Amino acid sequence: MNATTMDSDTAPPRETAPGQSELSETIFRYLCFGAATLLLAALAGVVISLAIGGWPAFRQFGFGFFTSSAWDPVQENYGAAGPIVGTIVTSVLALIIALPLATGVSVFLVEFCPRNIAKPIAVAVELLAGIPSIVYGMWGLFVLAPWFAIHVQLPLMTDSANLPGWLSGLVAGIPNGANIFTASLILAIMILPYMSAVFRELLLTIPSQVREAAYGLGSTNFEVVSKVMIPYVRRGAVGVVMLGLGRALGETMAVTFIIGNSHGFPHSLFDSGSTIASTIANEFAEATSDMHTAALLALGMVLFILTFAVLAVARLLLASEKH
Amino acid sequence: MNDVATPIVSRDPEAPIMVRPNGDLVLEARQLDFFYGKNQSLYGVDLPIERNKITALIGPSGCGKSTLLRTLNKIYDLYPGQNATGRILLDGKDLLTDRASMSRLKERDGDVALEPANLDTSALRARIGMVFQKPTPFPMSIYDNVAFGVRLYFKKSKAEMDQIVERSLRRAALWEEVKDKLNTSGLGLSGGQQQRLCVARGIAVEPEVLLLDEPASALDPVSTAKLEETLMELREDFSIVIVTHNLQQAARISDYTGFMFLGRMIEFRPTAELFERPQSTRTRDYVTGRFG
Repeated sequence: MNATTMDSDTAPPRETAPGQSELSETIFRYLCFGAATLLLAALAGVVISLAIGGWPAFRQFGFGFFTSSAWDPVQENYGAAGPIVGTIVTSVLALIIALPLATGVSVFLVEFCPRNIAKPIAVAVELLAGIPSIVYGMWGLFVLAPWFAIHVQLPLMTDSANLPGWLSGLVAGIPNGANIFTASLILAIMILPYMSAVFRELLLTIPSQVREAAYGLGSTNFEVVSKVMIPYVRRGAVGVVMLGLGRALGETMAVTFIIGNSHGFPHSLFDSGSTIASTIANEFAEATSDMHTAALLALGMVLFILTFAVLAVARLLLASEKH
Repeated sequence: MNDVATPIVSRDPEAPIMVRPNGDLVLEARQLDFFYGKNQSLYGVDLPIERNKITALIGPSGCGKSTLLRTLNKIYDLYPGQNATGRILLDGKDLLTDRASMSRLKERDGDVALEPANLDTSALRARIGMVFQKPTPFPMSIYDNVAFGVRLYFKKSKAEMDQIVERSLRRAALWEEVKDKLNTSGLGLSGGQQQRLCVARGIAVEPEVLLLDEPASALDPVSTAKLEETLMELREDFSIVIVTHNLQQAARISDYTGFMFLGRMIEFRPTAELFERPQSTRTRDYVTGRFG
């Protein structure tokens, strides 16, 4: 008979004993199921406890919790607009700073860099991701902030009369270097390695024939990169952006060190402020009243939702990139 | 007496059997060596390409025919460690000499104005179009795909560009199928349509030579037939070099055929002669299906 038409009836009988009995097969299946369920249960537990814990604050302040910038533990009056805006502004700014850099690094590594140098540079960039965030924070506080105060903020202050009004408003603030902008800078450095690593992977998925076809039409390097390669990974690149944003939103220690930690609504780029994560880190140990704790848990819930939404969008976009 | 081929066959068994075209040569490789790092993959290859003819390159996998094609428009230049020596003459000018000596040569000739730009590598590639094994549409609309190369080198009005796009798509026999959806993505077309889109994109810049690297190997028989028909018609305006694994395809559409083996040109002759009266035993074995 023809070997290729062999079906289960003619399959040779198994000569070795099966490794698992029926019972152990079942146990194995349930163990795997259990492991998966446990993770989901933990996630659900976190969400539920955040919601329950934060509920008193949501109930008492209602929608005002999101719009008021009064954060007054003495008067028991909590409005989270300051930290929420601080979180979004620092994250978006960090993204604006990091995105061109990440694009440059990954395009350079994929397209221009000789292969024997590309590897060390890629590793160096990835090492940036391994630096603990508290080290970034210290560096920010002791090195970046003083430098920034002396070399950027002070000259701008003395020159402020010469600046156009909108710009001097944007850079107003106490010249101590601990502000929204320096926090964004630190964040940018922290999210850069993740973004460039993922972006590099994306660029490497472009078939070499597509690049060659673009070069074959007489394009220069810049034209190939900007008109063909980046559009080719467009949707995935949005995913990269979201991934960076997700990381920036939740970053705590480094930001706590350098953002200045004032609760009000930040009024300029160089004004001190706070983020959700930095507020929680600063105050949780000292939250003695129930309402203070509830307000912090409610903040945690807001951060959770923000981050979850951003990462979910990123996943969706990255998934749709795999044609 | 009865051995008609005697004048062609050389005593040296390694020497290629070359029948040079009588017509005007648009592109010619002479004594071309090619190296991937330290590995040599072409050995002294000669390849004359006659204007407005289809030249096919055949041979078993790894024989160097795709490498030869990639050398002709200097795509290999993108990859460090790949290098070619010898001469590649486009309209009598050597492409392999460096840019500096090229512009000196051109200044002496005084015909700089005829070139779209300096005859540097990018501009050279624009004069020698290439279509790959797998369709390579860019992630943009059908219209923009065709206009891509033109926009790099010329400023055209919308109306002129419309004309160029339509003409190119017509010549690639794709116009009727896509004229109502020019603004949809080129990635949405079928494989055969994508390949003809790539042909349209390649000819939109009016190259002198069109190189095709197994353009039909990923296509079904109907799309292949359409593509072949397109190529036969394009011969009116362009000189075409096609690498193919499909011997029938080479026999059907080409005017000249080169048989390559292990990095050498074994036999280069008018297609009918090569298939009907191969001189080299290697060629004979290959075209009669004895190996490869």
